[in-house]
Amino acid sequence: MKFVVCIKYTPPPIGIDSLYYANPYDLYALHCALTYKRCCPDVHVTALSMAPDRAIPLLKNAVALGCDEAVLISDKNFAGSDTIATSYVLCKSIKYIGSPDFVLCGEKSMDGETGFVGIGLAECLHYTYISDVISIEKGNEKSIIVKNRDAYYENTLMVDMPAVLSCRGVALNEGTVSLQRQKLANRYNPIVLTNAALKIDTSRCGLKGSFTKVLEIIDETAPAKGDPYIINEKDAGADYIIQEIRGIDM
Amino acid sequence: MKTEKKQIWVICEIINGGLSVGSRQMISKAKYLAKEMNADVSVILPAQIEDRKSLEHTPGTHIFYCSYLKSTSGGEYANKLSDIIAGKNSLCVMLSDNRFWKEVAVRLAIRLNVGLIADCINIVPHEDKQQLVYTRMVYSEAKMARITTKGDAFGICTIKKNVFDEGVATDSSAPLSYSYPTETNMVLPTNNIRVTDRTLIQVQDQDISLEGRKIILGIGRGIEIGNLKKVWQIAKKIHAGVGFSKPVADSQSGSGQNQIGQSGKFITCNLYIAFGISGSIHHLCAIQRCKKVIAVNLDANAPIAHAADIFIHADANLVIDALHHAIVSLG
Repeated sequence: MKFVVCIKYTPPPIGIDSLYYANPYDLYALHCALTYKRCCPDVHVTALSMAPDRAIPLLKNAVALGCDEAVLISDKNFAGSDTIATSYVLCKSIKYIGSPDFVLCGEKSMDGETGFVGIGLAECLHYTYISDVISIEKGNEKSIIVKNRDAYYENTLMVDMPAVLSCRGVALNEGTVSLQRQKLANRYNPIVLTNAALKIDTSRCGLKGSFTKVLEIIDETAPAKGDPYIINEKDAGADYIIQEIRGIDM
Repeated sequence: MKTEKKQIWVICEIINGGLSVGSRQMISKAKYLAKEMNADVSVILPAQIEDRKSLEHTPGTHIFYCSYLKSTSGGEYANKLSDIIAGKNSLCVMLSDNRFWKEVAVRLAIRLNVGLIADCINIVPHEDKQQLVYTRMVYSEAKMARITTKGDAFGICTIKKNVFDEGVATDSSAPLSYSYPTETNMVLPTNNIRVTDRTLIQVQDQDISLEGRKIILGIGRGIEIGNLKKVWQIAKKIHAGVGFSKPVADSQSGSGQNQIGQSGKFITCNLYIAFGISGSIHHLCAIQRCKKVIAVNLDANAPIAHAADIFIHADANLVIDALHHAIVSLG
C-alpha cells in the first residue's frame, strides 16, 4: 500500500526563529500515516511538499520521522499558485510519482486556512474524499479503517482505495527521532521535481494559472464601543447579569 | 444587441420549510451587490419554500427550484450545480461555510475553472465595477486579505454565517422568474465507503448550540475547567447557548463546534456575556452584532472592556459561582 502525505511549509508563527515551519495540521496527517506504518511496515510513505529549495531540510526531517521517501516540487512557475492551482500541481505531481492508494493531508494550513486543497486534490485525482479523519487503522488489501468525527458522531468507516483523507487534528511537535533515523535522513537527498520533469501546463499554475489575486493584506482593527459602564464587585455584577437575563423575553 | 445581465448566484439551504438564516443573509447581500453592480440575483433552492418569512426574501430574484439536489454527495451536488451555472454570465456564487458546502464550492470551482475564496466576511464591488472584492481572515486571524478574481473569471465563495444582515424585502412583488431545471448527468454514488460503526458524541452540544439564541454565554481561558459544568447548568436553565474563545475551543474543554471567532462562528443575540475572555480582535469582530455585551474579567485593560456595554471587574469564576447559586440552586 502506498501513502502520500502532503506537507505545507509556511512562514513560522511569531516567536519561532526559522525560515519555514511545517504546518501543524499536516504534521497530524503525517502522524496518522506513520502510526499506521508502525503496525503495517509494508506501507510506503512519501512526504510531498510544494515549496522552494530551502524547504529541503524540513523534508529530510520527514524522513527522519519515518517516511520512506520525500519529494519536493519546486519550480518558479508554480510560485503564487492559489488553492485550485496548487491542487492541480499536486495532483499532477502525485500522478507523476505513481498514483498512491491514499493521500493524506491536514484539514487546513496555518497561513491560508482555506481547507480547500484536500478537496481539490480529490476532485483532480478523482479519488474518494473523506474529511475530519482522526485516525486510520489496518483494514484489508484494498481498504483501510478510517475513524472520522463530525459534529455529533464518531464514525468508523471502511474506505476502499484510492482516497484522499483530510485529517482533523494538530501535531505541535514532530515526534521522536532515533539516532539511526536521523543519520539516515542526514544522508538522504529528497527528490526534487521541477516542471522540466512534470511538464505541467504553466497556464494552469502559479500566478498565471490562478483565478484569484490578493489585492492587499491588512491589519484588522478591533471594533470598540467606547467606555463601558463598570461594576467592580462580583455580587453586584452577578445581580446585574440576573436582571438583564430576566429582562429578555424568552 | 441586448447584453445579458451578470448573475449573482445564492445556493440556499431549506430548513423546516424555510430558508436558513445564512441563506437569507446571503440573499440580502446579493441583492445589495446586484444593485451596485447592475446584476441579477439567482437563487437555487433544493425545495419549495413554505415559510412566509422566507418568501419575503425572494422578490426581485430569479428562482431555480431543483428538488433533485436533495440527498446528494458534495461531488454530485457540484455536478448538478455546474449544469445550471455553466455558460451563464456569472459574477459570483455564494455558499454557506460548513464542510459540505466547502466541498461543493471547491469541486464547482474546479469544474467551472473559476476563482475560489473561503470564509468570506465581506464582499464589496471592486472600484472598476466589473469584479467583486472579497475579504477573509488569514494567518490565524492575525490579518485580513482582500481578494479579487482575475480576468473574466467569476468567484465562488463560502460565506461566514452572521457576517451580513438578513434584511427584509420592502416590496411585495413576486420573484422575477421561476425555473425548474431538469436533472442531468446523473451518476450513481460509488459504494467505496461503508460505515461500520457510529457513536454519538458531544450530546451537550445540542443543548448549548449558538443557533437562534437570545442569550449566549462565552467562555474564555479565565474560566477553570471545573466550572464548565456550572456554566452548562446555567445555560440550560436560561435557554442560553454556550460558545468558546479559540484557545478554549482548541483545547479539550471546549467544543470546536461552538467556537466564537472569525475562524469559528459569528453570533447574533440580545445578550452576550463573556466570562474570562480577554477579547482578541477575531473574537470581538464575531460578537459585534450582539445587541448588548457584558464582559466579566479580572483584567481591566483587557480589549473586551472596550467592546462591552457593561464591564464587571471581577474574577469570572466567582461570578459564575454566584450566578449558579442564584439561577440553578435557588431557581
